[in-house]
Amino acid sequence: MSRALAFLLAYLASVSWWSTATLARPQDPPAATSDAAVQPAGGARLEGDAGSAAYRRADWSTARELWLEAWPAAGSAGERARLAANLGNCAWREGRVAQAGAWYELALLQDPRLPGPRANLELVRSRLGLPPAERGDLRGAFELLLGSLRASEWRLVAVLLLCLGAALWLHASPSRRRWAAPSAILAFLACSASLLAASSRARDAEPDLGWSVLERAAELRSEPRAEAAVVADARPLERVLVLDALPGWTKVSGVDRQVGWLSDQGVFRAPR
Amino acid sequence: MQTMPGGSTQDSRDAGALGAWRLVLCALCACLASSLALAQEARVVARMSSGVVKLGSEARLVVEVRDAVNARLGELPKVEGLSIGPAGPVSVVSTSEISGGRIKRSTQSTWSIPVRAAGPGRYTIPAFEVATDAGPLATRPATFEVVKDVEGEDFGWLTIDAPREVHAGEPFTLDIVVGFDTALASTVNYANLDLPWHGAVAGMVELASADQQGRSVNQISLNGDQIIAVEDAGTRQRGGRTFQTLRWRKRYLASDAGLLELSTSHFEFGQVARTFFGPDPSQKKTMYKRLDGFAIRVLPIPEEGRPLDWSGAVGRIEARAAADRRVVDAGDSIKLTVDWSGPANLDFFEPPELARQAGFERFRVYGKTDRKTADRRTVVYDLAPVDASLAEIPPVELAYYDTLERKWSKSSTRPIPIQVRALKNAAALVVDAPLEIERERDVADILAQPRAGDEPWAPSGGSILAGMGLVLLLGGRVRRLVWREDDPWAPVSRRRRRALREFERALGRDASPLARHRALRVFLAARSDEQETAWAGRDVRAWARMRRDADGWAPSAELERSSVELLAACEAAEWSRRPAPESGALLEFARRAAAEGWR
Repeated sequence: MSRALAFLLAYLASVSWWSTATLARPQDPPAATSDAAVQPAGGARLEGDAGSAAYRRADWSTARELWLEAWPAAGSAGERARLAANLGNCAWREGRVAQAGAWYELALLQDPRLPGPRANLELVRSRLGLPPAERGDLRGAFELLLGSLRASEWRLVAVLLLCLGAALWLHASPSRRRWAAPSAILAFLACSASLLAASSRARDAEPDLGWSVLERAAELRSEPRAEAAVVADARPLERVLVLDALPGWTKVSGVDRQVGWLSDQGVFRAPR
Repeated sequence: MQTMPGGSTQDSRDAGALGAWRLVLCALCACLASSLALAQEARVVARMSSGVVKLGSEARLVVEVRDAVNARLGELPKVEGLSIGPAGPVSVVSTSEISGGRIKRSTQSTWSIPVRAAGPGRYTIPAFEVATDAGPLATRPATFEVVKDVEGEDFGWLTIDAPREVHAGEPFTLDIVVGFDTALASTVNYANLDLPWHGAVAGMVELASADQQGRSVNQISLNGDQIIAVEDAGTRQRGGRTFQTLRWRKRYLASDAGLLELSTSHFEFGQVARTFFGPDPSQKKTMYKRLDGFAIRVLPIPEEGRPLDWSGAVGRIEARAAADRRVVDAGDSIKLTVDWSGPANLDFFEPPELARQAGFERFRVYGKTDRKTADRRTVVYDLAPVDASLAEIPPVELAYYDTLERKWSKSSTRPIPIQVRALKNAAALVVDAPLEIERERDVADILAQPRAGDEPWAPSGGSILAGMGLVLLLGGRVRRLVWREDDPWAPVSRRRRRALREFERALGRDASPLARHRALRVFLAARSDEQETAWAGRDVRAWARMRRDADGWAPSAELERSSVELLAACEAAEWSRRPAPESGALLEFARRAAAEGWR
């Protein structure tokens, strides 16, 4: 038994070393990049502070511009979540309620555990006459719990499940402890599911997502023309996947499982 | 006389046969007597209970049928001025008597049929038939005379106050007053109101009467079989006489248009002997006061001008309404009590549905409870105003046919002013209630401080997948490497590990040669995964060669030699008186075998 544990620890150490040395980690930028986002050349911590200062002066448009300029340089998901939440507040102050909701959705995708945007999103949904995002039942609580994990945290869960499965697999005996092998298989399946969840979470953070931001139902047309047939109606704050774009029009999918075109006024896209 | 053997037996048989014949003869005689009895001639007699009766008193026609089987009374005759029937239940009496050695049986069926005369005169009830199984029998005509009771007419009082005309559906009251001369007050102990039409007039529905609370109540007999309560109506004067009178009010309703004919009525009063068991009608001295029959005309309800919402109310109706509360919140319940009273058929109309009445559109009507008494109809409606602008409960209207005015009319309640408070401001109207101030909701403040990347490090998904694949692929090899041998949890492995320990225990338990030999065989069998009997008399050297050839393992030469020697010594000790090998030598061998991996 002691030999098995020693082997397992050696295995985990080797896997850790191997992944650190060979595989890239794009979601975790180096500290220098993060600092550059917050502290660009020309001033110390200018973007965030300047935007905040403009916001404090009730200069919503200036704050919005400053935070939008800071977006490409934001190296971490946490900083992008902060900028999205602040941009949502700007949209709220400027009266663009649905767009504020889209910013809050984006902020929660970047950091699901950021408390401010979640409450703000509920306020926006209430103002738009939409049902609350958090239903308050057991299923809703479970979904909230699963949705609060970031991609890297899902991968850590997968590592834990892999260790558990490996221990069970090594300890399995055909004559005794017959439950060990099926349990190991289940642990491996759960590990795979966690990896899928991590992949899905990482994909949600990609900027191909969009939201319908008209405060009434936006018309999804079959072609990028105002005379084209309306194939579906996109409800406010309905999440869509952006497929293509033409001047004035955005091709999206996901509205009633339809693919069509929305006018640019009706679509919010996460900045790249 | 020649005596036969067994003659006594023959005599007894003859006597038995003679006895049986006698029994048969008796039965035949009984049948003959019975047939003689049935063969008697059937007779029928119809007679009046009295040849002369007083007007108003009840005479009886007695019909007796003798010696007829299954007699049945046919249709009774009809005589003008007489009311005959209905016939009561038949009374059948059967008797048997022995006369002159013959059994005589007699059967008599008797009916007692009431007969009432409308006026004085001589009446003849014609012959009528009584059906029997032997054929119909005809009665003879019965004659009797009805004389006017002069004393009763003088000393009695009977009046009925009734309307001449009513409308269909309209209730009316018969005010019946009876009485007798106050000079007879000390002797009169019996009074019977004879109303042959009571309960027998089609189209006249009896209604419940109002309670006679607070009024002096007496009891008299009605039609000889009921006791009714009458009130004291005081004294009245007629022809210089003073009468003590009693009143009986009875409410009826004319259900159909037509004519209600009330036949002659009588009031019987006088003295009846009383026994221990009560009054004895057979010993009475009574007088009769007669009242001629009369008719009430029932008029139909006119169709002209009939309202669509008429629900059957006829008469004259007054309506009143009351609400249990005047100040309510919108949606709160109000109990609206509506009373309809007056000379009308209050029991027989459907109360109006407020949900369908004009003016109640902004009320929600949850239901109603209906209560009926003799002189009042009360309906309690459960209403809820739904609009704060409502200022009154509208009038409740009921369409009815006014029998006094002879026209269609409507009874309306007065509108009831109410104050309805809007629900939203209901709390503010309460002085002591704390005010609820609706605060404005706003988004949370911005996050002013930049956030560093706080996402924890984790290996990539590819590395985790690769690790999982490695575990699945190499897990078996690693497991075997760690175990070095077969599955250590397999039964054979555990038996092999247990063999030395059990061998030590077996040697310590029993030192006999037989036990030591067996313990050695058990040890070797556990190590080689065989049965213990496989090592009984085994050629160890041949077995070692076979193992070497089969899987490349065999005990060392020294171990092989030791095993051969020990097995031979144990076997020899078991079958001879030689001493068995020492336990120390056996344990030493076992330890070396386990260390060498004997299997």
